[in-house]
Amino acid sequence: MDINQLIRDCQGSNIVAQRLLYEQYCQQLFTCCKRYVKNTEDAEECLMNGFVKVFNNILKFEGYGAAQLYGWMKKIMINECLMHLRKRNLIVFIEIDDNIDDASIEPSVLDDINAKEIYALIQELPSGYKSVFNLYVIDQLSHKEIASLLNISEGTSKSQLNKARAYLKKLFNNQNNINNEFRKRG
Amino acid sequence: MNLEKEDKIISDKLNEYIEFDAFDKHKVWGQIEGQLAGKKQKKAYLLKYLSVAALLILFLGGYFITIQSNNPLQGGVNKDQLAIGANKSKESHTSIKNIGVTSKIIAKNENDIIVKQTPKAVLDNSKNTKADSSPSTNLDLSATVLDKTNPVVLNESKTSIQSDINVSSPNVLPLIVKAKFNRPQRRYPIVHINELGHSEEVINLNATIAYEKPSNSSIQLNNFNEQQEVQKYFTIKLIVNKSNNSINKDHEK
Repeated sequence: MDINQLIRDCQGSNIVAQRLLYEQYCQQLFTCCKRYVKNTEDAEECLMNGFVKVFNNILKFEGYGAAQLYGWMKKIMINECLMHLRKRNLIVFIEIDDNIDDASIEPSVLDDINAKEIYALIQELPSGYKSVFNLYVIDQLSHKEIASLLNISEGTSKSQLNKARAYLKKLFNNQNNINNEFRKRG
Repeated sequence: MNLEKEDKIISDKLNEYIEFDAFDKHKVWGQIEGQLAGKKQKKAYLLKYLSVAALLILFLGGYFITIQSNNPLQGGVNKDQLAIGANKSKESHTSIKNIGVTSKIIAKNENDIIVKQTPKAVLDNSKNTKADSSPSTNLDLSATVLDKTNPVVLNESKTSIQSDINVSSPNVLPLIVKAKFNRPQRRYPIVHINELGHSEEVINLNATIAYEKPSNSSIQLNNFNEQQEVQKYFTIKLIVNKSNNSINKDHEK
């Protein structure tokens, strides 16, 4: 079905169209939610609230096409996740003393690690690091936007990102070592 | 490795990654559907209540309007309301501008002084209509009472006012002022007088205004205008020319 027709039907509160839209995007958006919140139940709750908002506000959507619609829905989901984390005081900006002189990751390491492993490693980041890293690196928001979303200063956002990178570098290297060991045995 | 490049690799990998079958999508859809249906139901209830409330308000409004139109005095008109009407009536007369009244004593004897007054100015009657004089009072009511009480009549352009001033007693002389208006053409509802027709104010009013005045004092009538005239209140200044002693002498004579 044409996505623009689907949008129009959803704007007319057509329940079949709404179901179709949900079916089409729920997996992607759930993955997005899961990047921010730790457990599956919380991610489901965020997804549900996010979709309710999508259907209630779809009349305000002025974009065109699948990409714009997905971007709009993803934004709603991210906001929902951040709201969820704020409500439960789950975003804690801790300072871990690491050597962050060189937070960059070796190219070979990144090539060897697949998406699923990166996804799993990001889940292990502390909530503050994870939120900033997700917003900056994956969802490509600026530090200014992140600061206003998380109600922190831009400086805090930058420092949290650097620390997240350093922490992630460690995790990536560990994962790479495990992978190498596995290959050697195999 | 450049941080931007590194970020791009991570971003591309994660954006392509989708975690399939990681959650029960039917359960989540059920919850979404329930919430949407609940909202629709709430909307329907709200609309229902609003329509019922609107109908009730319409019905009650219509009922009260019908009652009011059938019986204009049902609600009761109290004195305060009438006073408000009177004030509004006064306000509506403010359009009478610059009325210069020439006063002329045309006859004088020991007891009586007759003063004739002629206003020079033209009345601006644009606002001075029956409807404007008291929009809050019932016009039918004022019209009927008007006939009973005060037939003050003004000519729009060439109104001449004749004021009779009676000084009836040589010692303590009540000055009686009566206003007459020549060539009556147009009736002006004087709402505050008419509506207070049964009150003491009007009794006093109809009894005219009385001032005490020594016999030999001259009378200077202010440039009272028709607004004041219509409202029954002449402002009269008494200027005593002679001292009290000379007045007493006059009295002795």
